[in-house]
Amino acid sequence: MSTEDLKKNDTHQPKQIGRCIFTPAILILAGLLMLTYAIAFNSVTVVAQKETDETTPQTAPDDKSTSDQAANLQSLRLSEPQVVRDVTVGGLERLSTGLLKRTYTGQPDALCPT
Amino acid sequence: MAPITKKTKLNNLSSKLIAYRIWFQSAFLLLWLDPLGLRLHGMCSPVFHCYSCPLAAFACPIGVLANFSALHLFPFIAVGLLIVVGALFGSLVCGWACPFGLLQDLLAKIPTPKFDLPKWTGNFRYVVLVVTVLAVPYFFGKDHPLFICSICPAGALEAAVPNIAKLAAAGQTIVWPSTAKVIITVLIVAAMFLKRRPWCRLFCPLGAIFSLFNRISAFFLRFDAEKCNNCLQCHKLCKYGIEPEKSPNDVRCIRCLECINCPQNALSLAGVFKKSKKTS
Repeated sequence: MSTEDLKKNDTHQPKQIGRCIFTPAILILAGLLMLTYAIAFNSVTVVAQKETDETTPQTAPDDKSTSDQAANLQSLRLSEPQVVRDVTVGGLERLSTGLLKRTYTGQPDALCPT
Repeated sequence: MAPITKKTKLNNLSSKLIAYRIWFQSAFLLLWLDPLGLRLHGMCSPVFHCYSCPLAAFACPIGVLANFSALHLFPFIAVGLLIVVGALFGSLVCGWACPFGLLQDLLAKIPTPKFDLPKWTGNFRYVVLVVTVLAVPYFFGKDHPLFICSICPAGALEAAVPNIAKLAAAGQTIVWPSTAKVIITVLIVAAMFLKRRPWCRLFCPLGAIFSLFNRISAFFLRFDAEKCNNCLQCHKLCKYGIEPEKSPNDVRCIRCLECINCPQNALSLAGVFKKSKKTS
């Protein structure tokens, strides 16, 4: 390959410097906006099992009616960093209804199940 | 004979730093290994480092992308971070900051015959990204055997191995990773002796994402055809089978920057933020 051919193939020469700055600058700005939105504003609603009181007498699982189970669920709004933290320990699952459910109560597992 | 040319400040610095690349990788490893014990798992790191590693400081961006896909959520944190880092550095992160890349670089130092595969095999990274990170979790959930975390060798080496050792030492029941994960890990580790960075070049979904930024990133490899005298020394300097004079910002490049040791200074690390002299 001759030097002339190489010149033709050289695609990343910032001869038009404005164009070269434009693309990464726009992307960096878009990325920073996404990060800001995620950290400061974005939140996700999940359902979670209410933490049971130690003193409350426990009923056998067979006796639990659906309404009892529903009563034990509470809705939580988690920020995106909290959601990220939860997925690192396998702490969230998507139900067939489309709802997101936290899989633990109290302290999360230390590790991801995989 | 081509004239001896003056190096730019950035190029001068980067060519000096290349000799210390392994130390940079080790320093970044310390950062990812959470020396302060903060466990900032609400934030992603830009490298392939499993968050189940007992010492992981940040969440793995690929694990987060896959899990969010399974939950049908858009991962603003992971995508935002990957866009910022990718648009700034491209795959420079792979060559200088990734702990799994460091492991592969260290094993590649063992003097065994190294083989190369055809260039097109690098496209398999995009298949891994689309299938195991995005499509399978989205359509089948995270319990599918092809879910990335279930087959990830970085997860096996950085998380499963230390956790198995920890459980064994504590006399507790050992939780083994899936057979597929064990087989893939053994194969990848074996391949590390026979091919430079097999995971990065054939399968890494994070490398696939960063490589897409190589042609547009703020820092990039500049080839100056005026200075090139076709000595092809850059072919010998590049250990990854890329021809830097034809494609300095190739998608297969991990930006180890070895090629900027070109004797004619035809290849250099450049940034878009500094206005360059106009070439005729």
